[in-house]
Amino acid sequence: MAFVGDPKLAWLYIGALGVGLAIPGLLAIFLLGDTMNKSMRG
Amino acid sequence: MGLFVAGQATRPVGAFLWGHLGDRIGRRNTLIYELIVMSSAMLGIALTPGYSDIGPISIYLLLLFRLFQGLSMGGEYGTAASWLVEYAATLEPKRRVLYGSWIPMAIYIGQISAVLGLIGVSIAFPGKFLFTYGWRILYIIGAFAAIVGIFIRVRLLESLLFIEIIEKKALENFPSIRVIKSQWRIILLLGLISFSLVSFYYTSQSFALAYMKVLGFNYMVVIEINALALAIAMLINYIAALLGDRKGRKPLIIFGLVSGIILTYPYILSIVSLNVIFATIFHIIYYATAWVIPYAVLQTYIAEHFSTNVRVSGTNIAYQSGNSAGGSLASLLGT
Repeated sequence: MAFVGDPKLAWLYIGALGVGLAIPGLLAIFLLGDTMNKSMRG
Repeated sequence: MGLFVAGQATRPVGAFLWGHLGDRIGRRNTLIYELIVMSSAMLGIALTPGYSDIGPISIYLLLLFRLFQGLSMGGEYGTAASWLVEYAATLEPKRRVLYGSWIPMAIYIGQISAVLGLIGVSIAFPGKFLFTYGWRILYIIGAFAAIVGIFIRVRLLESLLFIEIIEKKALENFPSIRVIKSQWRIILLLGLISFSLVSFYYTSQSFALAYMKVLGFNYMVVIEINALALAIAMLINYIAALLGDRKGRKPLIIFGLVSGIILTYPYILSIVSLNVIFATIFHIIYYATAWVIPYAVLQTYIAEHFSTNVRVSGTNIAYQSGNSAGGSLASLLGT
């Protein structure tokens, strides 16, 4: 495991991972705009 | 790890194939066939002899069953989401998120059952039995639960919106291909949202729990912390679904993404503190805000982006491509 080497430093790595992976989702939801099919029909 | 990633990698393939079936032969029939594949794969995993009995063939068999399990999971989400949300659209259009939130609710109930099963097997068979044979008992229980699920699904009615499409003779010949061609941008963006949210799920349910054990937390304490978080998740899921129906889906998804960014560091630091109370509180808060709240509305939000004749395909492909990429990447980077 990545943090087996020095478990005390793992928080830095995991934290960066959590923050980094969130950015694409935030960008995507703003780019999506209002595209929902509100009636669900069709 | 290889087996896990293999299962993750087949999800988009399953999404494509089951999506095609869901939009061609209906949601109900597809839900039945998916569960037949799932229960067979789980039984296969449970009954595969160990490496000491049949050598490397056991690994190949496990890989094969894991691929089928991933294939089945690839179709489950979008098919169930389409069926639930379409049912709500017919019966109670203003409660579509609440209906859709039964997917995460069922997942939390399943996870808590698995945790209770794990605790039960650990108590009944202490020592190494859990890691040698005990896990097989859990898989057999899971497979039989899936068989019960098949009988329940046989009694389901088909989505009325899908029946309308059949009556209008508006079925797509190749819905999975059609939706990728015509709505690739929406699929990509919805996939990215799923990708990010799933990374929070794996941060809390994979890394953090493993990290607690690496830092010396007692194995049973880690299981109990997570069981508490899952129990609270059921209540939060219900409240978030009600909110999603009243205030909209987008604000809750944005709330989840922002919470994940803000809380990841404090969450991991609470584990580093080795204080069980801090770690429990932050585990519950992080899981609830970064995953449970946005996940309560996600399936409805995704399904609402597609028309009925390609809904299962679009929902499956968008969610599972993001889930597979997020789950595989997060697991590879974090382990």
